[in-house]
Amino acid sequence: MIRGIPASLLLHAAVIGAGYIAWPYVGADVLEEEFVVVPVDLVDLGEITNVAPVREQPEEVEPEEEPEPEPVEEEEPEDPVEEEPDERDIPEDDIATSSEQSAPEETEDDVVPDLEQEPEEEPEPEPEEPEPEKPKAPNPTPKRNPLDDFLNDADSTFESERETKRRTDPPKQEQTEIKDITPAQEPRKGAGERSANTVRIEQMLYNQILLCWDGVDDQPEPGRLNVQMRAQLDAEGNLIDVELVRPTRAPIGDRSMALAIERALRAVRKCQPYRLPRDEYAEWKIMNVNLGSRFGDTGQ
Amino acid sequence: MLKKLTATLVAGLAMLFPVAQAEVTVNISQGVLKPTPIAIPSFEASGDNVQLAADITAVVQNDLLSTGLFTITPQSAHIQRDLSINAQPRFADWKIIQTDALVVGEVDTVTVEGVEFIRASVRLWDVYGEEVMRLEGQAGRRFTAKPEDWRRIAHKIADAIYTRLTGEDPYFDSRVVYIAETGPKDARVKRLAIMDSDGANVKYLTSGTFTVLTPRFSPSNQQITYMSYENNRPRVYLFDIQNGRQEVLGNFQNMTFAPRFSRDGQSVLLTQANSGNSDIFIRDLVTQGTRRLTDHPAIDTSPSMSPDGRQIVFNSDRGGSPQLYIMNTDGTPLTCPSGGRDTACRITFGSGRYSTPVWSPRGDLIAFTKQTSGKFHIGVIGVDGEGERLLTEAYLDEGPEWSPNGRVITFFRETSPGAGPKLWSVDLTGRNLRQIPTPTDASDPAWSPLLN
Repeated sequence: MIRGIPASLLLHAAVIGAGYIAWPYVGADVLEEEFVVVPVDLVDLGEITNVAPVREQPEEVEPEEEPEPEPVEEEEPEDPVEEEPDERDIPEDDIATSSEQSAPEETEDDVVPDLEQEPEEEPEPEPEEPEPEKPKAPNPTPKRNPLDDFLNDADSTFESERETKRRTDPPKQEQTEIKDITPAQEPRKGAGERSANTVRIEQMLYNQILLCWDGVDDQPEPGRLNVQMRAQLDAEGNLIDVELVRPTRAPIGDRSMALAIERALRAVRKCQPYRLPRDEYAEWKIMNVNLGSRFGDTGQ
Repeated sequence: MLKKLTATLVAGLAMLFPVAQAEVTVNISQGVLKPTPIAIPSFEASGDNVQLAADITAVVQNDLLSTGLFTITPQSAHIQRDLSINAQPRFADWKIIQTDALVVGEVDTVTVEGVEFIRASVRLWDVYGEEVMRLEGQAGRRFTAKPEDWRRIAHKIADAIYTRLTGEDPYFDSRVVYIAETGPKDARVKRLAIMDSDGANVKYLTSGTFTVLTPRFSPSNQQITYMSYENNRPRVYLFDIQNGRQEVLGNFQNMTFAPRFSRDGQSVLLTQANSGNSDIFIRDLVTQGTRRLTDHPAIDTSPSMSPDGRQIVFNSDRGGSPQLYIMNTDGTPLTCPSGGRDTACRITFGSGRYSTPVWSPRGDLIAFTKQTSGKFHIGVIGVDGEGERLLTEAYLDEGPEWSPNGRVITFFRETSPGAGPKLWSVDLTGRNLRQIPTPTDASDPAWSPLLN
């Protein structure tokens, strides 16, 4: 007993000590393995989500792409008038082709709406088609077994009763439910005007011009060396014209100011062509570039 | 009439209230200062001048590269080869290789009254602005000199480009005087030497019979003052560069050292030691009169004058350890940055020992040597004692001196005990630390003013 107490104390001390030493490293390897360096290009997002407009395409696309199945119809025997069955059969192809064809058009404008629109188009025809097809499919097989026939008849009577009930009962609730569902599947308007890209044009320009401007920190009194310019760009992001707004020209004898103006103009010229979304050209056709410590950084 | 009036009113309103148009505004408060890419193709030349043109081009490139403010676009990357000083370059070819500025030069020889001169012409182009950059108000510069002065032409060209692109005053066409050291430690030979700012054209001014120390250029570029142990008596001397004459400065009974010219070159500041005490004096070279500037039982030494000549900075241990002080040259009291009025104001209060202060040619900073924690540093501090920055650190860094434009500091460094001193330079920002090549060990560098 007397020997046991020191031995117990030593053992506990050893366990606690080992734990104290080893505990900080427990799981460290796992973290290191999980740590993967991923190159990231940081782009600041606008304060207000303002993505490109969502077009109500399900209704617009179908009639536009109806002409495509027409040549298919022409190859087949004459079906000049009966368009209703054709519409049910063809839309499966139509949906596929329309989604394939409309996708590149939309990606040019903006990627975000495509992801919203594609799932919206598909579910609309699918629930309509299986409903008429399902009763057709089981019909041929059960006629062979009388028991099945009996049961099918019973089912059909029950179904017919249900249908009659549905027809007789006021269908207000069901209709309202359908109305509630369909708008949910149709394109909904999200936050923002949806008239522009989520990434702010100012931030994109800021990130590009920043790399082209050497600044004036090496000059005496850099705080007074502020340059405002106004530039006109073409749709490719090339400079059409750039003019000084303030100062309008280099003051005579002020070497630092002359240098600041020269560097500012060079930065704007050197950075072209500017990589900006072409579909928003109207927004960046004219850009005001202010360089100097007086101006707070764009978006910061 | 009414129609005209209405049209004028409409036009006026249109001017006042322009049609709303979408515009985007970008504000950037701070740029990214990085070396300016510049292309300097070999200057155009013919006949015997081809090699000379290549040499001048190389010196211009090295000068600009040594500042750390430029990157030279390799000639192998140049697309346009048919450059001419009288033709506009194809800017697109230079934009592709991301060059901000392009130097086009030409070298030829001319004979004037039977004497042959080399002539170098140069133009600087703004590639993105697609226009010529005026050098000192001109669309180009032309330099003429004797063939042996071809390096000065190259330095002048580099100075013109440097000034145009950085806004700084030039400094390449200047010289550095220093102490060339040879031989073992116990029998060290120390000679006065002079070289171009890039380390070329080294010439020895003294034979090495007597040890010399702390040379300083006069603003006129014609004289050097230094300390010599001639006849085992340390005294301040004057050396005339043109005729090689040396003379003792004044007839001081005691040891004199740490000389430095005043800003107008008419006087020399120096320290005189007397019975273990040392004070600062100023010696007028014209009247030969001497005036005491400090009178204190502590050690006062290493004076350096402000650009306007109204104040000096010096080193004193009157506060208990070597620190930096400023005072009016006429000895009148001044308002100290730390408060109160005194004849001398202390401007350094950090731990360590401060020494060898030098007032910047710009006037706003003072460079110094600082010894702390077993290391030496070269640092700068504002004349008000604010903003101390240490630019270097080594086993031994000592003796800072400003370039003529106040942008670069040269000093000497020993990397380890017994390694021997070498000359180094560092940019005012603390970047671009580089060694200045010398044939021997070297110490106590001093920059000359810009050559005429």
